[in-house]
Amino acid sequence: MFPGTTILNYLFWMAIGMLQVLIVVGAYEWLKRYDKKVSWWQMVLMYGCFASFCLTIAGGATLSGEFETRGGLFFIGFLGVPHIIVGAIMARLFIFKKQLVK
Amino acid sequence: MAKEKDALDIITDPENMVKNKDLDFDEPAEEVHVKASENEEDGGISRRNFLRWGSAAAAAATVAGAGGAGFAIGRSDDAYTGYGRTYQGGDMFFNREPFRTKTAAMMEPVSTVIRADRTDFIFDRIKGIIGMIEKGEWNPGLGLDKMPGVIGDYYRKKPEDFKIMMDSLGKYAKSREDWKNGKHLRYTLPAAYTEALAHGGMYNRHGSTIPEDPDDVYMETGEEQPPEKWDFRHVKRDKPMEFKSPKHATKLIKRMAHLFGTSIVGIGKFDERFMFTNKMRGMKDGGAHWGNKVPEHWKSIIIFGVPMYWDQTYAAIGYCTSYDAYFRSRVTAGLLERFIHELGYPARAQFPGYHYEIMMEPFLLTTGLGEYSRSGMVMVPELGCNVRPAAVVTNIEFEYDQPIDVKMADFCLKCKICAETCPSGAIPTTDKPETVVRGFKRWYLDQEKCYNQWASGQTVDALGCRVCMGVCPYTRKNTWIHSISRELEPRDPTGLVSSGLLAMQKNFFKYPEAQDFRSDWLGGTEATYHNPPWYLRAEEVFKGIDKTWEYHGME
Repeated sequence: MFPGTTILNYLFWMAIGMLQVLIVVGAYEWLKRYDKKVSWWQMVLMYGCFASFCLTIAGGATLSGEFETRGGLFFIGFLGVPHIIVGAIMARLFIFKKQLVK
Repeated sequence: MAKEKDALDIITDPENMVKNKDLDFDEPAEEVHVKASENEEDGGISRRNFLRWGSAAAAAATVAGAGGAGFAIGRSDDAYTGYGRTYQGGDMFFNREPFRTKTAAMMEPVSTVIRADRTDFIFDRIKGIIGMIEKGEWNPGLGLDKMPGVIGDYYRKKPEDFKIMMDSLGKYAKSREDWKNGKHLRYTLPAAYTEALAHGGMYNRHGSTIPEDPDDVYMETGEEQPPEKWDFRHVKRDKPMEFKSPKHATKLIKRMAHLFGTSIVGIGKFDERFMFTNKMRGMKDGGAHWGNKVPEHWKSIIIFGVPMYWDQTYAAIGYCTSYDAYFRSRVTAGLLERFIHELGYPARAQFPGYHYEIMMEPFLLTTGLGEYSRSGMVMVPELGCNVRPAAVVTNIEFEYDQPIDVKMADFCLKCKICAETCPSGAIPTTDKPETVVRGFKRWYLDQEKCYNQWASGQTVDALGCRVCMGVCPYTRKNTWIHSISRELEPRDPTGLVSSGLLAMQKNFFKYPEAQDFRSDWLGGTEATYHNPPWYLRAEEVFKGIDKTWEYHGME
């Protein structure tokens, strides 16, 4: 990824790894802020969807890097949109669920 | 000093007390927490705010990082298998062991196996025809009936093929004339690249630069070079170095093959079924009277291959050459042959373009390097169809590799992309292999039709097309996205993965029409699958070249 260097690749992926911790911890802060409760497995599912979406973006970009931009855009469109839909459904079910009437 | 307060004074000073009337330290801790949170929303950077907005920024950065990293991986030359990691053997990264099988697909005989004759090799036919014309023994005006010798006999059995061959030779002549007249300025750089490899690397005025070729010595000295002499020519030891075991021999020779530059290597038992009859380099007339003899010391075969450079392969026809891969596989063959001689064993290099006594493809299959493809070539997991093999035959005892079944041949049943984009129509479009070729039912590439396209293509030597290699879905870089496909597909018993991948391949990617690949004088647009790299675009570096054409490939 960074030609001519042997260290920047590792630093890049370490930074991306640290950002993932921030994403999850910060997500819990947002949930607290709005008084929402999400169980650990729901968070895992939602993070998994996000990670999978990122892979889709990476896959499309990889194809684009291989001079297959058309294929890459189709790839993102075809696989990315379902991710957004699934993500929205999970948000509706896990975060913005209706409160049970006491 | 007198005016200075200590820390306790500052804390207890009423002036410094929080002026929030709602804040009552006597209230429960939870209440205090909520109020504090509200204060944070006034804009201060607190831990909580940092985490919240930091996480949003991190999510955006992750998406951007994924895109950026993906693009960089895809664009990187490091992902081109065969370039960069060769010497460690890292290019042969697909683990074949879980997929070993007894017989490769399409390698189970369905009738008596017949050895190929030299006349079955199209380049020997072409060489023969041109020889007849040059010697005045025959010319096309005399017609097929009067064509002498075994080549005449061959074509009299296949008169349609003869017509195509005559057409090809006409196109070849026109193509050469066009180059001479400076028609192809656009292809100046790929032409220079091709010639550098061919005549700077592969051939010199005496013949082959590397490896040594017995035909050259025969032509220079007039003395025949039978394999019993030629294959031992550099052996200096009275007796060969003895390996601890065949396993040790295999391990060493494979390591050396990688060290000498190959990307993939397999070792198998020599199988005479795949040796040409009436063909032996170093003998009179190229061994035209050799018959079906097999040298006794041809016991094992080390077969290996490298890819053509990828950017050019994708930019076939005009911007591609086989010679970059030929040159490098020849280097490996020459070095390995000599290395084996130094150990005291006989060895004979078999190398491209036409310095063979054997057919390469079957040995790629029997040694488990790949599987037959629809286009009649062998595909390997790391390189797809983009593999140009060479080999060394020897009598060392090895631990032999077994064939593999990675379902690549099954993929070909559904795919047909190569057949649909083949500008000469040489690749079969039938759902299943229907042709029995010398005892094996397999896909059959129509050599005459294929060569017809070669002869009329926009390359400096009027040789080669290679479109089928570039468009093959397996001919892809070593990036994670293709590696996932490589690993998943052979493990999927349902075939759903391959169907899904194929659906993507056919719908997401854009291939030129078959006709578009052809030369302009044959109604084509000289299209390419990918556009050529900048360093092969003459108009970008030379004065006086007006770009009067469009690039039609993918960017």
